[in-house]
Amino acid sequence: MKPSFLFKWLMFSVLAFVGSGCEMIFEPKAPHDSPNAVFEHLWADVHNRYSYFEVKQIDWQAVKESYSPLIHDDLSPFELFDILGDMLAELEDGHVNLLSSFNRSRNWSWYEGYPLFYDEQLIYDKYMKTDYRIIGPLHAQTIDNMLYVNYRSFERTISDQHMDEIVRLMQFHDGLIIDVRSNGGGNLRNAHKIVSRFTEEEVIYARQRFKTGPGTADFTPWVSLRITPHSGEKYLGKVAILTNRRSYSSTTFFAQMMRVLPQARLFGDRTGGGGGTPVFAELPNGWTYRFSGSQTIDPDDAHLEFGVHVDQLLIHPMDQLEGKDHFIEAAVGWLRE
Amino acid sequence: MKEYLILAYLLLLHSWVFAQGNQRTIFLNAGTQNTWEKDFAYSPLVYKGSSNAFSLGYGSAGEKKTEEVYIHYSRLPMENAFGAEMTATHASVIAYTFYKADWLPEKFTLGWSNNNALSIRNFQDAQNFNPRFDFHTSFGPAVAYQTSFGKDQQWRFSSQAHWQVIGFLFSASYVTSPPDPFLHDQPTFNAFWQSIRFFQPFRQQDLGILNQLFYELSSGNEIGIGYRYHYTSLENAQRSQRSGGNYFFQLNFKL
Repeated sequence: MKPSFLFKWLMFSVLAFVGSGCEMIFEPKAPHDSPNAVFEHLWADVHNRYSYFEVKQIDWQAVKESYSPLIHDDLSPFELFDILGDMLAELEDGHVNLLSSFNRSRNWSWYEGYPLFYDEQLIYDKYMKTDYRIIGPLHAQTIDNMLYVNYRSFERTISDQHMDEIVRLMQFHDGLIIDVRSNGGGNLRNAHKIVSRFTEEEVIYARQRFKTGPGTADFTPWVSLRITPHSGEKYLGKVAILTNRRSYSSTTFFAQMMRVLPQARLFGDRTGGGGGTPVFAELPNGWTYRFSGSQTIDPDDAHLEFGVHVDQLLIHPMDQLEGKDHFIEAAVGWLRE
Repeated sequence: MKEYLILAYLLLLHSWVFAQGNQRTIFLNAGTQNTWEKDFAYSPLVYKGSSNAFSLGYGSAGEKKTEEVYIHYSRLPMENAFGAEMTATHASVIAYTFYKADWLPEKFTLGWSNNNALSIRNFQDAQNFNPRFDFHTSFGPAVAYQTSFGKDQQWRFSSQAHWQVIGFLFSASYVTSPPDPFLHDQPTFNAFWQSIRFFQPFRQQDLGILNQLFYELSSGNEIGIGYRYHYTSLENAQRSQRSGGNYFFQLNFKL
């Protein structure tokens, strides 16, 4: 073998060695996942990206000062989880959760302590019976010649065909009741799918802005949120919406959409809120968390985070009717007018 | 399908503009790719994975100038140290232009490179925060070394590297998947234009190394093996980094 050939092979080997496996050599180290590091990461990210500190007048720095003395390196994962969950609960936001393999922290103060006025057994025994229609995720029944539609979760997809059927049924009914009590939300597209059948023109129902940086004023400009009318068949008659404190997130948005339509009326109790779009993230120890990263306001500048008010409040004990659902009865009464 | 048509179009466009009369070659390679990725908007953790990767390339070599363009595609299932999953899709079109200068050692060429790369990340637990993405176009210097050896000079080793620090990027925003300007009421073109961010010196960069060893067949075509390394660090609303090593077999067809 000639020396020049050996030299070239040697050069090839050196370059191949230098080049190979670089992706492993330059891989970043795993972040520290000590209780202190996890606490600092969570506190800082929420500090930088959570959208409601000023609106809710929360002093997040003070929250840190009260929780950081509880953090030390001997904490078990369970103890650390509880402390971090308590810290996040200070935000009083249903869109804030900490999720580990062993628990999910949450704040349900938006409905805890409030009567829900939703008795599913009563509704199905007295009103729905067993011959109600099942139109995808919607359960529908005729009550006093009104179409009562019960929708349990905006996570369940509503199609154009489902709404075509609702609109078709309205030819044979005098009014429509949509019951979204205790509907915890889901996909906002489903709300648009429903409401787009109730208007012939584009309607602005709220405005929204998103965090763009760590500063308290770092937000996008306010952007109008619109209801765009469906191009096909629509129903433009009276619609009653039933809500309670457990109507949350997309259900709050749905209530707000309906609230701006002139032929709709909201009955029951204020919705639970949930006007911020959740941001998802992960901690150095693998736990995940979410928090609100946007704000939404109605045309009167009221934050949807605190819920949508109803047109007819039905939470007084005197409103209740023995053996009947007083929300449905009130809605039927209004539709008959 | 639309993406493949666009990639094919870009490749053809590059082929068309290359000088006529040069030695033109099609490169085809397939292999395995090891990648890690870090998206600080979602996690401080590193996600790693391996999968198949494919490249298609075209080269035009002349007396004084050599041009190459490669299209890479890979879709990688990745995991962090705690088992959470993320699916990454990487696609890029990278072009090199090398010039032979008299003052350079015989086997070296110098030039420039351009990379247009898209990374899409879908994290298992991020729900509507998905997809995280970034697209960048960057430019920078490139250098290549090439030597032939063996009894009939049938072996060829080449090594080339690039470092790109000039460019622009388009990426997911601070708290949403679409960039902020897409959340406003404005035409899509305006939103796209407002979403573009130029590289800041040394805060965003793209570098790569490509080492290949070929054996020339009697037909003039070549078979070979290679290793391609790339590293990208971008910063817009949040930082993202990724790096990968692609080990491959390659066929070069002379046209």
